[in-house]
Amino acid sequence: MTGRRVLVAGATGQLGRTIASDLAAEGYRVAVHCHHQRALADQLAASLPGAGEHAVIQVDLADGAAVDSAIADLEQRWGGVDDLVNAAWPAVPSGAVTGYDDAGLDAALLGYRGHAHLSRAVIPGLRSSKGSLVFLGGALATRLHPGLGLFGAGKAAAATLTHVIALEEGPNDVRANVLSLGRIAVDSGDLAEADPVFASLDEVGALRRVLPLPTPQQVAATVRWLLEAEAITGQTISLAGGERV
Amino acid sequence: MSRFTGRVVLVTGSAERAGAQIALAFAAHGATVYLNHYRQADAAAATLALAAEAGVGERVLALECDITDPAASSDMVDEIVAHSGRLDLLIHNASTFAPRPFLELEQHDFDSSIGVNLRGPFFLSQAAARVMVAQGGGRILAILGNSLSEVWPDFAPHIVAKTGLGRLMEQLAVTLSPTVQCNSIAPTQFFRSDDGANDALRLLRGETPVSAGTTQVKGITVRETSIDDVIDVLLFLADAPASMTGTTLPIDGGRVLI
Repeated sequence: MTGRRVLVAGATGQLGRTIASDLAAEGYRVAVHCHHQRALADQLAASLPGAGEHAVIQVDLADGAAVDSAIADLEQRWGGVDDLVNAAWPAVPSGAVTGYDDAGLDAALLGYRGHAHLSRAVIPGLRSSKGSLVFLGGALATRLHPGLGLFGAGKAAAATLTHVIALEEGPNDVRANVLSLGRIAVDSGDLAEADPVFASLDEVGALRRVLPLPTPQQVAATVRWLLEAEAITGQTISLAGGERV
Repeated sequence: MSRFTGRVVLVTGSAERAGAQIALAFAAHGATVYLNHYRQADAAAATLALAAEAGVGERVLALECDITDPAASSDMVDEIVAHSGRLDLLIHNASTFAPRPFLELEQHDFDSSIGVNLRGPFFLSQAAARVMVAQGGGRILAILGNSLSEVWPDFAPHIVAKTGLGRLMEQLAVTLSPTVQCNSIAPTQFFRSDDGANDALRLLRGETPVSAGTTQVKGITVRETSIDDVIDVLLFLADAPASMTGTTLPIDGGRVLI
């Protein structure tokens, strides 16, 4: 049992919940982050193995000052944060570049801003614990698709930031990696069901036989490996059934 | 029960050095491991002795085979299946790494490197994949080195062959999906396999060793790669989720980004 304290951002989504549960089951203490869904976050923290060891942190990641304050408060309550998993990503509108408006562009940048705010706030603490940072990236950052530019560009920006963190913080024994995901076999919140542009990706996937889809539990197990793999920093690992190739 | 109990693994070029350590690591985790070599009977015997000392001797078996010969590779796979009933994991570790200036290269230098690093793995993958598809699953892993992201002046055949091997793994990831997962690792030099040629070149390029574990590259301190790092990642990829396929994972402390 590791006893390490890991902050899981976006822990109320299906992937985030599964990651939080997997890490708690393996002995991590988990800080469950939420933005709006406080009741769900409280319920999750209470249901995790090792209940009582975990924490809840509620903050809008797009608000840098609020993130700084919330992380400082968490570190004081909890004694510190050793590792970060960022599974938070806001809904991003699809559509052609010629159709972007400022509201859409702002929405697309929220995830990137949130990742930057979070990283900035937790890295000083990660240094003292030789910590690890894992960002859940997207295959659309490198395998491009018409209509999904805002989503892909935001993920690409956050992935680049993560890689730079790996170089800047490597001498401090802090590692940073990206787990690049394509479509996941989720029970709910499947973007392909909600948005025909995302659904059109499946046609490409079928042509290239990119099966099987990873399950949230498999994503969680891979996140945990990345958190613990001392050999790996500054990398993007693709868990997308070969979509990249 | 250990992590790989019941699994059958073939590691090419594993009589000594990195391949031997990789083979012994999988055996230590419960696998039955076939240790391929060619004309290295003494080194293979020494590794088998190490396996016996570690208490895994009954699950490590040496197989001599010239993998550049497709018929011999096919026979080797047949022998494994005849003896163990299956083949779950193939690791392309065998490699040649002989520096020679481009202007002095001869055909046999090129043919030798392509033979061990690309042609051999191509047909051995085919023989292994036939078994894996028939049994309903399997994994193929290739050790590429950092040839995909760095170029070295005196290693033209090696760079070309390893790049081809990496692309072969990507191709097979799609061709053999969803039954067989194919991935590569791209560690930096971790076993001094070039007898120092790269060390000199690294210094020339301003890559200065800081300690046994770190090197400065363009002023940035990056982690060096160890055989333990390589083994950790291979063990992970050997039972990573099935949807992890077609990937190349650098083990370089982030050097690929610089």
